[in-house]
Amino acid sequence: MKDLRRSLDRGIVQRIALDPPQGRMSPADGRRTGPLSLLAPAALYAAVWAAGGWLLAGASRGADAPVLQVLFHLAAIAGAGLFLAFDLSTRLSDPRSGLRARLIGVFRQLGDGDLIRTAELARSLDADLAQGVARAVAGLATRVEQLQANSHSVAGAAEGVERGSTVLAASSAQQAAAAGEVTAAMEELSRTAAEISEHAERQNQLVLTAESEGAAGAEAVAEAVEGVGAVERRIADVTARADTLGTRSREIFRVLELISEIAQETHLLSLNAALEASAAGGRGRRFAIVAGEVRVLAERVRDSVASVRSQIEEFASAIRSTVVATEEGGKEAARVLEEARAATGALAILRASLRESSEAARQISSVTRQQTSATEEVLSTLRELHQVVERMSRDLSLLSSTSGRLRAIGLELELLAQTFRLDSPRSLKRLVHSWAGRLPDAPERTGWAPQDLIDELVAAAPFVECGCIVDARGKVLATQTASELQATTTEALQELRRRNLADRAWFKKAVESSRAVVTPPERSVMSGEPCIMVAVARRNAAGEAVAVVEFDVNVRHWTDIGA
Amino acid sequence: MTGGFLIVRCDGALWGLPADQVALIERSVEASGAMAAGGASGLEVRFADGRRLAVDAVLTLVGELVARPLSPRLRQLLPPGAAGLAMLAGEPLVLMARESEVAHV
Amino acid sequence: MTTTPYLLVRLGERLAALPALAVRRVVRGARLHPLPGAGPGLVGLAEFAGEPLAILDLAQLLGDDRGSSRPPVTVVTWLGSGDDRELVGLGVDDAIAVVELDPTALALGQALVDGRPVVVIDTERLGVAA
Repeated sequence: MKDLRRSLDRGIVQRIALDPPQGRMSPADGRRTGPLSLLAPAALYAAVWAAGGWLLAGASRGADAPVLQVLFHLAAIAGAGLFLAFDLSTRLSDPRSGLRARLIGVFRQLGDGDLIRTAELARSLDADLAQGVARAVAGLATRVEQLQANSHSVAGAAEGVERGSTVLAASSAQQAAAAGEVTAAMEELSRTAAEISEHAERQNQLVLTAESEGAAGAEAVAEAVEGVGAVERRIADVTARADTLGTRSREIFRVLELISEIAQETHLLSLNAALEASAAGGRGRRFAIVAGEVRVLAERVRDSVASVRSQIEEFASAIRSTVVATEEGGKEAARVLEEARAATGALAILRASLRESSEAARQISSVTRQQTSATEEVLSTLRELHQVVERMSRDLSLLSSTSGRLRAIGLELELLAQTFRLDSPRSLKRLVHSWAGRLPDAPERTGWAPQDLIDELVAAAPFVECGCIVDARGKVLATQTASELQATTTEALQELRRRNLADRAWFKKAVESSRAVVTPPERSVMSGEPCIMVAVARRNAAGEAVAVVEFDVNVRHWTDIGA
Repeated sequence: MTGGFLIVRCDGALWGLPADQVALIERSVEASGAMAAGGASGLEVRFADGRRLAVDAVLTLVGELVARPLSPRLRQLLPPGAAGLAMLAGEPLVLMARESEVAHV
Repeated sequence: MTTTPYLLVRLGERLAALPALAVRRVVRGARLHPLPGAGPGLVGLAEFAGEPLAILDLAQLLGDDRGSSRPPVTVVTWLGSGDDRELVGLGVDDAIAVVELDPTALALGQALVDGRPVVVIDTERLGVAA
């Protein structure tokens, strides 16, 4: 590829170097027939004559001057005559020299790729030759046109493939990403399931441990309950005995009460007896004594009763405190018993729930194992899919790069095709020539509007990014960009208009040669995209370059050429 | 003291009212003040002179009662209107005076 | 000098003595019938030997205003003298003993028994309004 490009570059340079101005003939070329061919010897004669005259005039003013003058004139004529004779003899000696030269000229033009010029030259050949050459040229033009068309198709197809493969690559990348996500999720699920399973197993182990401990705990509680029950029974015993004692003391109190009443009555009796005795006077004295003793007895009884009563009360109080304390103890025991029973109940519930939990854990374990195997299957399928997608992704990117190369090849072909100047709408050289044809032959004169012209030309060529008209000295007369770029390029355009492009390669080459110039792709200052520059010089009647017209073609849009 | 006596219970105590001074016994709707313990029973004794006495119960009518005249000591201490003390079926009772004003609040 | 028998009774913290000859009987737990409208000093009515007996509060009679009380012991006593003698029940807290006192005790209105002061009561004049 690179070789081709390099050879094309060299070819262009070579061709430009060899390119003769239009309508002129260079000595390297074949000779043209016609009246102009006699100009050369005539000019030579005139030049020699003039030079000789000048020399003679400057050399001497002697009497030999006229003789020398005549000799010189004769020499000039002789030289011219020799020249002419030689020329004629050459022409006459080789009846075929004219034809040969013409053929050489035709092939040279052909070699340079200028098929239009080739066709023109071919018309000067003999009829058969001319026909043959014309047919050859036509055939070549057709093939080149086909080449141009095919290179367009290649480019178009390559672009299509590239776009398609980009889209495919993107979607496959998405698929790969999605598959990757699913894979990741499934792996996560798998891990989680494994964790759950493990956890359930541990749970089960814990439950078994708790079971055995729970059984031990239940036994301990049962023992405690038994112990408390025994205590309670003893307490009940004590309480019963205390009750009995209480009852007894109450009975004693009643007896004491009775005795007390009797004592009181006895006392009263003794008083009344004493009163009777006093009423009886002397006779009642002994009776009064007896009454007095009875009274004393009654008082002693009363005192004893009081003493016994207080002792009994103390005793009863002591018993009551004992009973109270015992009752408290009993309540406490009952509470402990209640708690123990509650604990038993709670333990039973706990054990039951532990068993349930164990059962649940076993079920979870089994289910997650099933889950795991199913997940594993899915995962392996996903992994396969992932690999397929990755391969596809790689293939697509390969395709994308291949289509990119294909596109580049198409561009090379197009450029190659464009080196041929032919009467085809796709020919850029033909286009630039047509642009040059629109310029006046004396652009330095006013009376024409270069900006309007360039605007019109650029607007008419959709693949042209930028066009400019430059005078013979390289000063920019007018320039314009494609409509879609105008919004962003106003500043760059203004900058360009102020510049002098005389040092540009294409300018120099355009000025030097009569052929159109096509440069290899460069980055455009306008759009930054790869563009080829096509330029040609407008020549006046004298053949001088009076202006150069140039346009940039965006390589990406070269499929628009001729559309 | 002869003549019949209407035996009534008044504020828990037994009284003997001179029968010839009692006009009638009737049930009264209104309670006659603080002295009337018979607010619940609603019984009233109306005397001949118009006085009314609320009683708890009317027990019986006896022909005669034996009573001792009151000493100044007891007369001082007993409620106004008491003329003497007597016994009826083992229970002591107060005989109401004939002439004295019976003030019932 | 001869002594006179007196019945020693207790009225709260105080001790009193009643002439034994005036005292008929000492009774405990006599059935008391309250008499509303009676003056302070008359506790109620009771029965003694088939006769109505007015029960008087001895402490109240002596000027000891103790409100309504139900004395546990009743001393059935002759009050007054001669034809005006009447039997009443004197309510006391307790009847203690029959003691011999100096005859001057009555005139004095008080005596000492075992070092304790005792009010000696003249039953002939007791309860008579001044």
